Amino acid sequence: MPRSHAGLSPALRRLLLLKVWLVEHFRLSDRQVTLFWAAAIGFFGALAAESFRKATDFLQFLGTGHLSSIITSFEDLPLWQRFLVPTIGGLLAGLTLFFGNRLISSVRQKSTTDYMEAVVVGNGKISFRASLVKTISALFSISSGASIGREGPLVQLSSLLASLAGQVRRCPVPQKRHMVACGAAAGIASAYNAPIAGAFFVAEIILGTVVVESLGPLILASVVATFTTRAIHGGSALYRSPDLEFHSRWEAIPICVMGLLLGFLAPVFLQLLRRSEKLFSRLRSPAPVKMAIGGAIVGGIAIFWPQVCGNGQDLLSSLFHQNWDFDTILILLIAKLAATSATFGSGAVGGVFTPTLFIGSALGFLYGQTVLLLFPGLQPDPNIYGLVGMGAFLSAASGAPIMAILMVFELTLSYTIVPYLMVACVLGYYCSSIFERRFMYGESLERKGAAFFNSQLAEVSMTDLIRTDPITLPEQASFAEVARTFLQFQFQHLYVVDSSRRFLGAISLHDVKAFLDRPELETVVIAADIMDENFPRISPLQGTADALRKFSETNSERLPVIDNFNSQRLIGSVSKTDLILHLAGEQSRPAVARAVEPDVVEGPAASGDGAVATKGDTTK
Amino acid sequence: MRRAILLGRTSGERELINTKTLESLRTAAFVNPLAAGSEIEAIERLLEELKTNPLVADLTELKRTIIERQKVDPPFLPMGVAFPHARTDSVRGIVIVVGISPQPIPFSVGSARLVLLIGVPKKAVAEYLELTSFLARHLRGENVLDRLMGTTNIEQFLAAFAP
Repeated sequence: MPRSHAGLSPALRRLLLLKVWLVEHFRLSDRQVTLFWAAAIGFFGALAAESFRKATDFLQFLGTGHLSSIITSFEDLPLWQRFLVPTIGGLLAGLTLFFGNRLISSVRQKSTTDYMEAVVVGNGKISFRASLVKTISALFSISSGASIGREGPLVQLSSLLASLAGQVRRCPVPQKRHMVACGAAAGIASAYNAPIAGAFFVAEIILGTVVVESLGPLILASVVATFTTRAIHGGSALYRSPDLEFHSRWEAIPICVMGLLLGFLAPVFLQLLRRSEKLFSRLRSPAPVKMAIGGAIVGGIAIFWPQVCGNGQDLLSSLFHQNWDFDTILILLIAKLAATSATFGSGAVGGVFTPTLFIGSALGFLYGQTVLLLFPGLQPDPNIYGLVGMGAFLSAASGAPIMAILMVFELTLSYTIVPYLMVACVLGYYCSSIFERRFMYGESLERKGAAFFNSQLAEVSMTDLIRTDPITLPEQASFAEVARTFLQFQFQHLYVVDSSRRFLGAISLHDVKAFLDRPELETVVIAADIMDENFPRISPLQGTADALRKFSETNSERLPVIDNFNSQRLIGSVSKTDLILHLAGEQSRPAVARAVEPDVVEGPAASGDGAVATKGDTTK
Repeated sequence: MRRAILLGRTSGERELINTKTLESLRTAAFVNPLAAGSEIEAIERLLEELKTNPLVADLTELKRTIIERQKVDPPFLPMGVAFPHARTDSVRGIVIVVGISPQPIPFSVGSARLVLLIGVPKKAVAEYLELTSFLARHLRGENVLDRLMGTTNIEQFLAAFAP
């Protein structure tokens, strides 16, 4: 930093005093700054999601000539077009992946394409090019009626924006990961109009931990994204049902039984998806052919049941608002299962979150109608069973009961069902976990390969937490320079170094704040006079426990990092917020590690080199 | 922080200073005339006044620290006031020695007629800044140095700040 002996002007001095007052009273630390970024990510994430929606609507119009819902569009198409549109859409989606993958694989990248991977095992960087390729591929699939969720790409896009913001901020890995997590929460909240579930989806499934340090920004990102989406689309629950009422307390028994049954069926559904994937992988054909076949299967089914097209959101809505009989629901359920398996297995980019909601709901309806038939005295409402079934199945498939409860509550805004929903979700999860170890999202990480996971995990150390741009002053810096630096930067401590960048001590704003308006000190006092030579410092060789202990010795939000205790050369600083986020992430790693045991490494994305995975992501 | 009114000035302007700092000023050693031919000699002569001061734990270390500090950026007011000082754990409390020299003493950055040697414990940052600020502000006043040159003890010296 250039040295200057020039004094502060009276105006600057007044500004400095105002700043000190603000800092003292409002204490804006990294945590608050993170909140600001979370809000920005929520806003822009929602806009990105909206842009994707508009783009799919436009492509759907080009493909079908209709701007209405995907099901209505397909119902109005002649039969040959019902078959052709998904087939061509699958072909185009596959070609995009095929050529995009080739282009990108020529450039070695240290970033990933998947937001979950970026948060859990990666460095918080998501490849822009690869995400773009995946998004374009998803646009073709989704707009042509593939039975897969568009929520996946929405989340991917908002996570990508968050990752870019993290890279612009040059924040450490835990902060970057956390920003991507905020992006994912914003994407989910925006897709489902569900801010609480958006935050908990990320906390429970991706981060694997619910601590205030990480949950606060997730909630803010989700809420801002929801408000932004509501400002564009209006704000009502996606699946609001007619008034729901339980006629007998004894209904708790069949609902508990339903939770258990769906807990058994969810692993079957996941197994079906895996089988479909394996079946397609046996085809020795390039991605465009596989995805065209996947599209053709959906198109073939759509000739008879066009309702299978799309992610299932409109179908789900119809389920609650049209009085379908048992047979119709059963046929649509089977058709939807086949269409989803074909789309997912062929490698289409998208998610199975919404299809899962429909399948759970349809199973719940069927079960409710059976209960009505067997126990008419209970007067069960199949709508209730449909909604509770949706939550229980989601809980059992995703392994995230809290998120499932919150999601269904926000989707329906019905409190009547919540106690029953909670029981069914928990029972479904526990029952499913007997058979299922990886659930819907462990699967996604597994594909990235255990070796990749292990190497990334090994890389996460204190070094990843270091911010390499601490503000420093030379020991002979004048008091005026000290005051000016405090005015310029948002730090409570300034680090003093010698000419070889050896750390000498830190100047505390708290110590000098009362004297910042004293011009007579500007030429008499230098930085070395007022620094604390015993200010705690840490070395990258130390562990996080040592770092935490050092933080407990001071009230500083940041600590200087020196290369070692002999040379004491300042190499950066570490923030308390980053450390806590890092530790929170570490806490969830054993669970992730269990989910990613190195017994199965398969699929084209196992290298984790940033190439586009020719497989749909499972979110979503 | 306990504070005391040190000096009353005209038109209601009053100077507030910490009680501890005021006490260290009142108990400062005083040397007039200060006979020294160089910066080092002046510092050594003033340090002699602290030999028996119970607040000084290690006089050698205090001298070393002050001289080291002088090498970095010697504090000096243009009218001829030198502030050789150090924040060091070789003193248990603030120690001050005032030296007045009728003949200007050559320091590395100018000639000094008044030398204020100050030792401050490391943890006493606020007291150090308060004391330095107080002295530097008042020494900038018109004719202050001339008034101080005629003083023969610390009471007169302090009184000369506030006529």
